[in-house]
Amino acid sequence: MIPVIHYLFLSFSLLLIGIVGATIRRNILIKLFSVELILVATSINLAAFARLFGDAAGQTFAVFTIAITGAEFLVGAAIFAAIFRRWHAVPVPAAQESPRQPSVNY
Amino acid sequence: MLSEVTFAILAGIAILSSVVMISREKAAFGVMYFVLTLLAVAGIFLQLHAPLLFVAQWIAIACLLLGLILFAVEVAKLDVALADEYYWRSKAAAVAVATLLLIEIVLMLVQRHFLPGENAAIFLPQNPASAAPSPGNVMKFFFAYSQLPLGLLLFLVLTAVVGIRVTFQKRV
Repeated sequence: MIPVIHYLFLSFSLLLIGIVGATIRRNILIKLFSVELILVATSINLAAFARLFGDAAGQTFAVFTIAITGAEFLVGAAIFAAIFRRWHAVPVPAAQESPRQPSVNY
Repeated sequence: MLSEVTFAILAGIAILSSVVMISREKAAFGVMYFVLTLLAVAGIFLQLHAPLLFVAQWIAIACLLLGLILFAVEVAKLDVALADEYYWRSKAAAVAVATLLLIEIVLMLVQRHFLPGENAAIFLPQNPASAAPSPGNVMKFFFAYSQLPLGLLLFLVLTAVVGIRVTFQKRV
């Protein structure tokens, strides 16, 4: 038997890691992954409490969360690809010469 | 005992790989560790007697990898702009996560020391066959009680298809 608090601990840890990654990191992909970590933490909570109460509603909403995770990543990646394609001002060879300089200004 | 050991291994893999994921400087390594996190969480779903979530998690991993491949193909020439990041941010992320997790563990230990059995006494049911909702029950709840979830799910799929279409749009 595993106490529910263990699942809550795991979920809270993933939530913390996701929040820190989404706020501190500047890489777009890492930011997307961090947001998905937050959603994964939500699904763990939902599944644990669905298991605790024997209710199918929790698993249903967890399926929703996973579907939202996939759609969010696809749409987010498409939006960022469109943004970088539209405002890509610095040519790649010039950016390679000075990789520490930001190449996109908003 | 075996389930507790399994949970500890899976949870440790999930937490450690997610910490490594946000502390890597290159996003390519972050992708691998993120997939490892998702796989560990899929194992936890299986341990929670939720096979439907296990399958959904695998489908999500497949969608993630497919989207990543499309994204990498589309913005391959813009890789420098995407990877442009100061190195101290990765270290700061790792230090911040380690500090927060340490605080969380200390608070948990203090709570268990001074308030024994308050929240830790809630255990999952021991007999999974009688308590765990079956995939059939989940699908019945999904389709029988409301059509709104199905509509929302179709909307999400439509949104994802539009996203893929935008990704493959030809450059002007």
